[in-house]
Amino acid sequence: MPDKILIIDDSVENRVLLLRTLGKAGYEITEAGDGQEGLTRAREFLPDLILLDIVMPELDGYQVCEALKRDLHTADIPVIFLSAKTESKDKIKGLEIGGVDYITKPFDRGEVLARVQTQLKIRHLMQELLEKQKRLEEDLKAAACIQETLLPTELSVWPELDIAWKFLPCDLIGGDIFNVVRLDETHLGFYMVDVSGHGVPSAMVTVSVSQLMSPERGYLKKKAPSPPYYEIVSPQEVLRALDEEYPFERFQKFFTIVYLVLDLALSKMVYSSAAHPPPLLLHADGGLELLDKGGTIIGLNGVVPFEQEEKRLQPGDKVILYTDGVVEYCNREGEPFGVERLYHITRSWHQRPISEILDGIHQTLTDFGHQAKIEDDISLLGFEFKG
Amino acid sequence: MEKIVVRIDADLEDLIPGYLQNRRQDLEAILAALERQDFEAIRVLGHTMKGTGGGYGFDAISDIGRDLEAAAQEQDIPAIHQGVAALRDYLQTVEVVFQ
Repeated sequence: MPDKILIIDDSVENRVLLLRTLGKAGYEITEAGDGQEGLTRAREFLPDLILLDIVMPELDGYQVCEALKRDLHTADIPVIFLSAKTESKDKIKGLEIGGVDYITKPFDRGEVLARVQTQLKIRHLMQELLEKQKRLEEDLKAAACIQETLLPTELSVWPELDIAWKFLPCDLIGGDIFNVVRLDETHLGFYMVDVSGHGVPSAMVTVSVSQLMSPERGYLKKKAPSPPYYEIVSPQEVLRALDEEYPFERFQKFFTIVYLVLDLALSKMVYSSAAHPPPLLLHADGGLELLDKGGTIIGLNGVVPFEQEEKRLQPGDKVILYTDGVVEYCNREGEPFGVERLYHITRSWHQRPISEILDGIHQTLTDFGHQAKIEDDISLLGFEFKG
Repeated sequence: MEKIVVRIDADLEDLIPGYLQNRRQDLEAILAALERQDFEAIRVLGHTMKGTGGGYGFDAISDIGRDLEAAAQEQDIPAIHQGVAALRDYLQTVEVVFQ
């Protein structure tokens, strides 16, 4: 389908000349002899480009251009001014109010054609770009839905536990992932991962790690020769395996992870961390411990062995895992939220249910930031051991 | 009088006689406006000539139009007469070759 061009000029001779020049080049042309008619024709014809004279009776070209730009239906149509007004101030005014080009009369027909072709090419590229951008955003939204399915779902299956989480990605999709996995009747695994960077590449790595952290894959549970014919892999071994599986060179990404195995029968947990912010163990009496045993970030090929630690749990104890997006979130003045605020809130609300504590942390972050943009994904995952 | 040869694209051939005829009418219109002291009408005619002449291949008409527009703005009657004479001479001597 040929591109459509509207010529608005009160000079019949100019319109005829332009019609001849552009019509010969294959464009579909319509014309208007004054500004008001031009506005009407623009709305009806919805051209791909408008050639607009400036000096016309009643509405002049500047007024017509301003009206076109105010109307949502015509605002995106490129306008080329075509005028015998040759002073720089006239050209500047035309471009300032939304014209994409300015051709002085008398014009060279070849120049008009070349400039029209250029503007139409830009318009088509812009439309293509917007279309691709729209598709990309739709894809990202679909990816975000997929990523959401990897977050915890079965939160009320275990009567001994209350589990809650919050996830605020800084883009549509994030570089954080966490989940709770059932290892057997009495063992649960909790993990939280923060991949370096944001956006699609980091999100893809989170999907990969998340798949690997499902019990069926053999990284969290391995076969054993005697009953129950499986063995729950210790957190430090899991982290060592991940470090081998994800060398930096594989995806050009590092990630931090904390992995925690909770034994409901024996009221204890074992954890190890790969440079992840230390989870908080909040005791029923308000005491706070940092779970800071582990090793270096995943991707460094085991430069340091991963340590692990076992902790006994009392009824009422709560554990909170979080990513650095929480403590590094900055307000409009550039001040980070910081760990002290997090520790303080957690301690002062220690008697509240875990879901309220996470809601409270989120609310405090929001109040602190005064709607400052989130620059990093924010993830929180917590549980209360009820015994 | 020596002919002035102007070469114009063949695809405009059917438009040129009408264009030149309109300029002959402009001559009469300018003189009539001058009698009425209607300098605005002369300015508009000059502005239109300036805008169209070169596009049709008559650069000289654009130049004459520019001078007439400026003269009308200044209400410079001798300069307007000069412009009219220049246009009349040009219309009498121009010879179009289509190519």
